[in-house]
Amino acid sequence: MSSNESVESSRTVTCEIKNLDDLHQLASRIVKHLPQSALVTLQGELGAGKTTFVKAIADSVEIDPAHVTSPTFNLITIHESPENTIRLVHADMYRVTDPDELIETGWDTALVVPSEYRCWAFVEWPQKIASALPAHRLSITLKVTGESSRQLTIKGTGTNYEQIPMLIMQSS
Amino acid sequence: MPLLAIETTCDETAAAIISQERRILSSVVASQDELHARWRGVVPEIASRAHVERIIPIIDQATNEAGIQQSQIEAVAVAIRPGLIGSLLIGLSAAKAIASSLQVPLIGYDHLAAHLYACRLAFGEELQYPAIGLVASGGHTSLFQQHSPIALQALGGTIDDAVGEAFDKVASLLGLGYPGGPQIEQLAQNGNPRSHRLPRPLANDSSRLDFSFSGLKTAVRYRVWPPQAQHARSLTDQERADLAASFQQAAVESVVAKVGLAIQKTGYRVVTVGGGVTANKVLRSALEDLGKRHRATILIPPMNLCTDNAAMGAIAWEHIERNDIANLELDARPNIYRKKQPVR
Repeated sequence: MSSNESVESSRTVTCEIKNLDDLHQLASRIVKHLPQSALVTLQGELGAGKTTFVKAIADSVEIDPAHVTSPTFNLITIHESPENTIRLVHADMYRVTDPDELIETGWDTALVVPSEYRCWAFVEWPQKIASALPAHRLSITLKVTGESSRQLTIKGTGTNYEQIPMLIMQSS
Repeated sequence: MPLLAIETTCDETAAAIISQERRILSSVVASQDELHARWRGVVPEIASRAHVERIIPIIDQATNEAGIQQSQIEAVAVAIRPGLIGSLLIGLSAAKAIASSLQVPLIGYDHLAAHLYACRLAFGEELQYPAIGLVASGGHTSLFQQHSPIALQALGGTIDDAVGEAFDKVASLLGLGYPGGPQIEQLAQNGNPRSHRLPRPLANDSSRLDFSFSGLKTAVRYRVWPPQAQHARSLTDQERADLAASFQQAAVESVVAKVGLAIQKTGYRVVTVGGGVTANKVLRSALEDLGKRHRATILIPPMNLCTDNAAMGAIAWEHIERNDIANLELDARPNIYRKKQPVR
């Protein structure tokens, strides 16, 4: 965790999901409340469902989830929604050991988009680059609670993110 | 006169000299596995730095071993996609510099098409098109149909993890080192492949030629670390061997099932295979059995041509013979293309 995070105010909600249907429902609620440019980190052990979560997000903005594959090899993959209104940046820091290595991913250029776009970055294994991550972000932690069930903790930190966890819980 | 091929898509820094008759005059590969073993995976920054340090000595060694001067190189070829962007750019920059200083043609080739073209080097005219191509490695699990060596049409690919990535991650779950493939294979020799019933996602879905390994990886995780438990279990050697064997069996069956389906759907009777995962002996023999069942020719090159190497850059001769020459604007493309051709 970055040291400046403690000075930012944050809100946290926890939700239990029973299966993939629940996950897709939650994802479609989350995308309604993401700011135009958003950073979302995804933490969880191997097999917790981080890539599966991004697939669900992709599905809810009409990006073919079958194209959302693990970015472990290439570190970063970029998906665009059918009308090119949403850019989904899917990054995986599993193999990264030093935040300086971020430059290898083309991360900075991926996040530069025209203003009419929405650009959302989902970062798996953010703990590998903690010191390089902006404090303002949505942090999602996935915990295995059963064969198909997961507990998701959603924490919003900073002005654009603080309200998001409550908004997600209130919307249906 | 021969061409120089350069390959820096991921771990390996490689260079080779190949004659137009597709004879390999030299092939040099510097593996970075040792560097990466500490990190249980490919570490890109280390990969790029090592490529920078090694690329020129490797090229020099390739020309020396071929017994030629750099001035005798007739063309320079380089793998430009897919791979790690930082690594790709080092090979590409070296290739451009050499091609422009020698004033010889520059050719950019596809790393996956080159993996499949390794079969042409190993089997010569036995490789007839149309063919089905399977690339199975740490970064890729893809099926193609090919009407020519340089034309790849995607039939399907993994929808989550690559098969080699699944081996690496399961190895990590079992407390093994990197690369995971050889270690799982070795451990599996003492295990019972039928001891655990593990899922084979998509393997029985005959409507598509895609692969999925994420659910298999997660199932192994549940055996090591059950969902309700606070901590991972400590496994006995036999339990780890059984789990490794069962995982390997499920992964191999998942791959082989789709190759069989591709043979049925296309009607093609030649299958080319490439990528580091084909080092796995269980996969090799399962593919050979499949070939016998379908009366198909399964072409699996020897190991040194399956893992990343530059000799497979011989595919550049196919580009030259089709007058497909690049210029200095040539760019690297990290991502794999995903457009699919419908299969009748």
